Amino acid sequence: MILSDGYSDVPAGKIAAVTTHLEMTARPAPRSDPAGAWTIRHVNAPALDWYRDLYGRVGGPWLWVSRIRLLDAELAATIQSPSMEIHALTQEGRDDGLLEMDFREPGQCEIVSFGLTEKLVGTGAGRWLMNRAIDIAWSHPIERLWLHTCTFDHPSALAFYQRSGFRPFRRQVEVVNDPRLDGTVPRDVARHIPVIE
Amino acid sequence: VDAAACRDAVARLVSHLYLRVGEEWLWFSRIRMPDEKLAARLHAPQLEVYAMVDSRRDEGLLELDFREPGQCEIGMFGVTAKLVGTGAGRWLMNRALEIAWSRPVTRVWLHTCTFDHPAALAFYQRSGFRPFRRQIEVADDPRLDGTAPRSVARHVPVIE
Repeated sequence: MILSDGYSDVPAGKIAAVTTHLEMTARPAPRSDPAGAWTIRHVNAPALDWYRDLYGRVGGPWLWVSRIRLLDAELAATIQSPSMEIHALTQEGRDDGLLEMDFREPGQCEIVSFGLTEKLVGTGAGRWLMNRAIDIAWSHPIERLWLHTCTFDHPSALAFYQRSGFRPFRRQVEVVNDPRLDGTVPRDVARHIPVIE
Repeated sequence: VDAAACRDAVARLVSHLYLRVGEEWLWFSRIRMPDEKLAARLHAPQLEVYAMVDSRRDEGLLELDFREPGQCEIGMFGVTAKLVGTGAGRWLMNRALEIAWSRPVTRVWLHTCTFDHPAALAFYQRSGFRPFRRQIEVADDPRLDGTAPRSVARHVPVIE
């Protein structure tokens, strides 16, 4: 569906985001790694509790909800799929970053989740993790790496992805029920997106 | 002085400030407005336009629209890039609220969008505004038809 020009109302109780899709079709020039005591760990067939905890800690402030609304069986089928690669960024023995790569489409990789817990935002860990993501993705036989970001994300996210070598190619509007009104997530998260009832 | 020429001159001055304040945020509605329509709007008696002055230069723009009886819409609010983060925005909002509530109004309102400075929404909430409505706006990219330079507002990528 294509929205018509001008204003469209978003009903009370719903939220709306503008999503920008970005892609790269060749491996970009490497960017230097910021200094930091981070490691990355490939988590094979992640346990649901572990995944939900990290997903919530990373994505909570940004209203990541797609995985939270999944039932156990649906979530297991998604994150334990052989075409999905999930990595954790670890600092001082704690998992504080999430990188989720989807190789379902032959020759392509989608970065489905990319983020850090709040304490690592602004430390350089994001650049370090993106460097790893690009290394891992392009070590597979792919011709295209892509991801999307939306207006709920950190205000620097889009520019960060562009600096990383991604080029915006598509824009979408997403309207969903506000997850803070149906108990999916706590009422007080993501204050940058006001609840409108 | 010819009244029409005067109106045009004021419209040009406001347009220049509108650009300096709003270009980076992709303000384009007034740019696309024909001169006469903009002049007529700016000279409506219920529409008040203020410039915030810093070192004798106009560096902030405030438009208060009292056309709806009992209400005030802050139609434009912004400072130029050099004043963002200096406290000038808070100072200007304090003036805006003083002026608005000095009139017989029962409601002051405004809107902000995802093209605006990432701190704008929280700033307005701290100022006392409560979000009540959400809309999506779709428009032709003003950087693709010459309304605005191609290089502005990099936080809103051009997608062709």
